[in-house]
Amino acid sequence: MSKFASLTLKIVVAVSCVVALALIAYTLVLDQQIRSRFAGARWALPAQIYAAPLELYPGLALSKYQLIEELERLGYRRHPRADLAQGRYAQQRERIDIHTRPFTFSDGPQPSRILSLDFGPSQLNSIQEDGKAVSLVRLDPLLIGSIYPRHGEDRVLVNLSEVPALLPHGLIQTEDQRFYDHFGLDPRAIVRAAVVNVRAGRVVQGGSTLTQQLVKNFFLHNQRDFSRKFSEAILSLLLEVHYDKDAILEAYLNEVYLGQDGERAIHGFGLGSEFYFHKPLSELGVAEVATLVGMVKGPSYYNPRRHPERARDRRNLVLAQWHDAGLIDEETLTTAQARDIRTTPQTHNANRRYPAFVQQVHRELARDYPDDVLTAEGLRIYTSLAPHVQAAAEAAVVEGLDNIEASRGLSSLQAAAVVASVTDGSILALVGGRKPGEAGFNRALDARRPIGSTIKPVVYLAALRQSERYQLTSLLQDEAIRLDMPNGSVWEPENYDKEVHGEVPLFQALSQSYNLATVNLGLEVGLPHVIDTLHGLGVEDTIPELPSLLLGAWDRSPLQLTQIYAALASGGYAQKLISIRAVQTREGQLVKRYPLELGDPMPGDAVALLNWAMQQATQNGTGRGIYRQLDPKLRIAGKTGTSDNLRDSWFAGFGSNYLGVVWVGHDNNDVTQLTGASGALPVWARMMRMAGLQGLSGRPRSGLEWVPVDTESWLPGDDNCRAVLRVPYIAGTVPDQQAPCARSGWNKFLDLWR
Amino acid sequence: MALISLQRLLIAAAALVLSACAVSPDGPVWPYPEGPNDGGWGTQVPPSQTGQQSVTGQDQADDDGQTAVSHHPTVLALVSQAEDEHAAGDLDRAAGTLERAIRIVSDDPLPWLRLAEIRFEQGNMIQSENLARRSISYAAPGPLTRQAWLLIADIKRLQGDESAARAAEEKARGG
Repeated sequence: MSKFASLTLKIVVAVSCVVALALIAYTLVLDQQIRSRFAGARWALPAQIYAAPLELYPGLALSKYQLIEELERLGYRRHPRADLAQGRYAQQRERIDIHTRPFTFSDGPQPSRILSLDFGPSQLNSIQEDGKAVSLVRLDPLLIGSIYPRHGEDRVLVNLSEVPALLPHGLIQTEDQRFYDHFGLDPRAIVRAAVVNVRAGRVVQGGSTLTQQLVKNFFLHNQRDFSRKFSEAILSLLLEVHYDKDAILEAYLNEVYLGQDGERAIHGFGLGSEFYFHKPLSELGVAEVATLVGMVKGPSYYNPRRHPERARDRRNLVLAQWHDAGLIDEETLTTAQARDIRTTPQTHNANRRYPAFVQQVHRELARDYPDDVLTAEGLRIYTSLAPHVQAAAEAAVVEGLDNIEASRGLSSLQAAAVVASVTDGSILALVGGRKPGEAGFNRALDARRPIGSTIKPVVYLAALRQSERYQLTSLLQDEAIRLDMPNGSVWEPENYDKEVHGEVPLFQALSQSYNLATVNLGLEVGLPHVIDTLHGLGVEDTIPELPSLLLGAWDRSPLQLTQIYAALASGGYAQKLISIRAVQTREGQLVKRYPLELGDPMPGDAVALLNWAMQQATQNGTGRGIYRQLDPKLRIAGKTGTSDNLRDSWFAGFGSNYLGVVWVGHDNNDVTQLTGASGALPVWARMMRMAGLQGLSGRPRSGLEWVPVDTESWLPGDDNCRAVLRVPYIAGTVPDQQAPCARSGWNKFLDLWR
Repeated sequence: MALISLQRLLIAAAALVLSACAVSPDGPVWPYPEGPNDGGWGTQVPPSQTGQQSVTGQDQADDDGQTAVSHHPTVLALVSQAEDEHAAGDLDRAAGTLERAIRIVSDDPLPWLRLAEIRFEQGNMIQSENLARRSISYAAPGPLTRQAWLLIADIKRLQGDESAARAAEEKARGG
């Protein structure tokens, strides 16, 4: 052997050794990468946000139509045999059968149940299961959103054992027939694909196995070129060495990319099923499973929403393959192929449907959880959103503004609305603007505008707290006022009608919203007391100590105003407005409950008097327009508000179940020509009618005395007076002096001497 | 300290006895005149209107000689579920169940009072007192408001406010 040859050999051996070592090192690096990626949490899982579940019980005021609406929202399908599969319902005259989905609530799991519900005209009469009466049951809650990173991936994780058997088998049949036999790469498929591609002169077939596709999605997002192919092959082999086929298949089902929703990437069949068909994977039919499997080849090319024809052809090809392989029988093939491509509209997607509410949820969560936890750990967030109330609020804002603009020749009005529960101050509905389905400027949270007369109840409550000094019938002076301001200017407020009304009883000054009487009262009570009352109602930030505060020259967002009214509606308990009830881990462990919490109460009697006065405002005062849309028998407390020069129109009010605030105005703060009564009020009334507002209870409160009062002197009177009004007083504060018209007591005694 | 805990025990025992009679099998027994029911979405209709539900203890007179008022059967079921959870030592779960009852029928004083009692046991005196007061706001004077006032008296005494405790006891006696 020549020296040269020997040297060459040595070099070759040396180089080979180096290359082999490098290869081994590289493989070890990849191996480490694969194991760390596959162990533990494989995906950053966005937090899932749920609406409040509908509680069903005998006696619930719910019509069968309202239930059907709710079931449709939840993606239940109408089918004559509801008992056969979960996620179905059937209607037969006054009876509705439901096969519910199992769900793990924050207080424990509820299995799938087959229920039979009997309805009266406007209420649920009874619930039966297997012939036995059921006293209380919940529907599964609506998934209303997820918190995924910006430009991030969203997914709903599924287990291989839970998915319909056709999905994995069908997927293997269509994408990688030798999946269970190969070792990560499929040489035969590669050769076949190469032949096909050479013949066609372009790439028409890929030879990638499911393992390779998974590796590509999982590890190699940004690499292109040959080195990627090389790493892909090694990674695929390594994956097969470390993990069994089922684990790889399950990972694939959750990783595969199935489309784009704006900035949100749709990953996995679980989310794909929700996104395209608005139902869980377990409820998909054969045709729908085939549509999704068909999309794997090209999610945007075969997008069933944008290209239904293409998606249909592809689906039918997939179905034919399945039939040839014996996965489905002839009959199934024919029926499935005959089906239309039926996707739900993209707007059905809950992530888009409630952007304003979800934004509030996100802000509350941000106080307790860092963003990377929310976007990665798959937390389950249970909220207070009531979908039917939200639907009412959205419809009222959209239709209400259309009506106002049409009848008054206005344009480009905007609005925001909040509905909260009187019981616990939880937020039931939130509308951030005229296009509720579009994310954008959230006026309910971020538009801060002067609240005008909606502040007045607080001024009157500050007075009524001094029960010895002020009663509902105390006479106030509605007289002109001139105040020299510290900055040298003069403040000269006026009434809306530019008149002065002289002596008026306290409750009427509120119900008629007289500015002058209110300012006089507020100054007499003292601004510090008014501000103290605001704090007592739950306002935490500093409040300007200016007389114009008494007329609502104070910027608040609709949500902040709702907070003040929540305290009035609950009888004086300041309540934090919250939208979250509980947080669970992905596995169903409770992380945190957000319990019902009450602030220290304002005096309940004084609040009760105030609420009576606010009922006068809707019965005879500035708020009476609500009864054009609401049943006049309902007792409702409410107050209009208008800011200077008719820029902002407000209405705030409550019954026994809901309280709500509506704002109408212009984004650029232009004059609207609307008062609270002509702008926000009709929207509020429409919203509350559709949501099902209940009236306040007429049950007399202990501690109050009801006294007939002469409507001229506003002193206690009797049958001899021309007109009397029954007015509540805190026990022990009824005025001693009687009306001149009264013929009882002292007057009667005096009569003897006349 | 020992004296206070003895006192607390006695009062808790008294409350238990009273609570037992409020949800005894004979039905709830205290009065409040029911306001008109306005109907609407997601609300209960009183049994008299449904013609379907009947609740035990209707028309039964209590010791004030007034007619008793019924609870919604769903509320009673949840209150009793909460009692089981309480007995099993899971106070958080019991509280969650009572909140569920409150959300279903908000103006029934019973679950409010039960929740106040649980917060008391958990040592959350501020919430306990506020919940008890809200319970009182939904009930006419009777056994239930007496229990609530006794609970408040207990809280006040633990907070060292003897005069407020006496005032609450006065209220419990109907003062």
